[in-house]
Amino acid sequence: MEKINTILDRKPINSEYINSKQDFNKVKNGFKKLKPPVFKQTWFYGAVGMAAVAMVFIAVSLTSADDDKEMIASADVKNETLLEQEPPEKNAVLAADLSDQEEDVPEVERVLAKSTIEKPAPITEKPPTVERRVVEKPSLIRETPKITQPHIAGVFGGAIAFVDFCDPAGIQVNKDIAIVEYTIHYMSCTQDVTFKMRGGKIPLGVCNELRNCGEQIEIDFRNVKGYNKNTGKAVAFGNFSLVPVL
Amino acid sequence: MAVNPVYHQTDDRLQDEMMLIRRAKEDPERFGPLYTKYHEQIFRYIYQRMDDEDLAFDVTSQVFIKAMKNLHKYEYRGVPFSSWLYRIAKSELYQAFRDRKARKTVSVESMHLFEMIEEMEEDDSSGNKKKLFRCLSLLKDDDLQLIEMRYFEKRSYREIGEIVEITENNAKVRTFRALERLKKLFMK
Repeated sequence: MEKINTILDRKPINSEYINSKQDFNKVKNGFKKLKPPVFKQTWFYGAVGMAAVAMVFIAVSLTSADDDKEMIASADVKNETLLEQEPPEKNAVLAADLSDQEEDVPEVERVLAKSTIEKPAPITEKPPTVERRVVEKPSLIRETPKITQPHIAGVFGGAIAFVDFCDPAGIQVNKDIAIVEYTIHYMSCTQDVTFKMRGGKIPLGVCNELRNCGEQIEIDFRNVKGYNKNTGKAVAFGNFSLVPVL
Repeated sequence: MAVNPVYHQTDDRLQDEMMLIRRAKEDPERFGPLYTKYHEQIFRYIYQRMDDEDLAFDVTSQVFIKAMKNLHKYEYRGVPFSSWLYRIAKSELYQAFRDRKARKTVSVESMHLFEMIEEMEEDDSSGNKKKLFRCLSLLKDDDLQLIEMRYFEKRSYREIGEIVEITENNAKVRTFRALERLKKLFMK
């Protein structure tokens, strides 16, 4: 058994002496030394956790924003396809509209319009914006720049006058988009031609070749790619076809 | 038997104390009033069981450091804050004994021995006093603790119960049994 020290009538200590020994600063310092390191404190885990959640949220948001842009681009392609498949009645209506307006149109343009009636009518209407069809996340769509289809001199498909086809401006989308490259494909008088072009301009050689052929040749524009001048984001567009006519 | 009146507090005083505790929980710098209030009580509890005065002051400081550290865990259960401090003090005291920094000590006054002999219905002779004094050192820790708190420190059974974490009735029964064992040792 452990020996216990027994003291009889020990000299009592008075309260003043005990109080004089009070030292709260010593206790506070001891408490500060006992404090756990920063990485063991609750607020640290809270801050790190919040930061991690925020990072994941941002990553997910960015990914879904990219997905939305892709959806818009692919929706453009679908829209273009729909326009290509417009029923012939609509072309007839368009032609009728053109003949109604003939009185105000200069002679050269009137000739062009007449020749156009026999061919697939040029679709110069601006296609409906895609946002309405793909709106699922309004906040993301709001940030997305307005994207339309590529065109040459306002013609999105079908017949186009050579003057317009050989316009130096080349393929355009809207003022925010710069065309980076595209692939052109057509059957010339002599051969099947496919080549890739940088920028949006139509080579003068192609214009001359088609004009010299004298036939109505359908020109396919594929893999049209561009970038948004404001955001710098790359944008892909759907294919479209034009038939230059004299 | 008269009991120590310091421990027992009115509801108003307990509420005031709760306010001090709440403030100290929000800001440890505001633990000062609680330290000032209970420093002497805790020191006396420790010094009663220790033979070294300086070490008793050190252990007292350690008790308050631990109290500050664990204050966020403290919950009011209808007993004074001091009972929570006594429990920490008891733990720190045993830690000091384990570290061999201090020897277990029983500090007894002649008056207390006289009262105990009266309780045992024996003669108040100097021989009996010496015998009882010797018997105290032979008691087990738990029994000695109860005898000390009840007969030397004049604590109520309720307070003993709260410090030892047993009910008031249980404290009464255990203290009675401890006294019976002391009597047996005395009669040998």
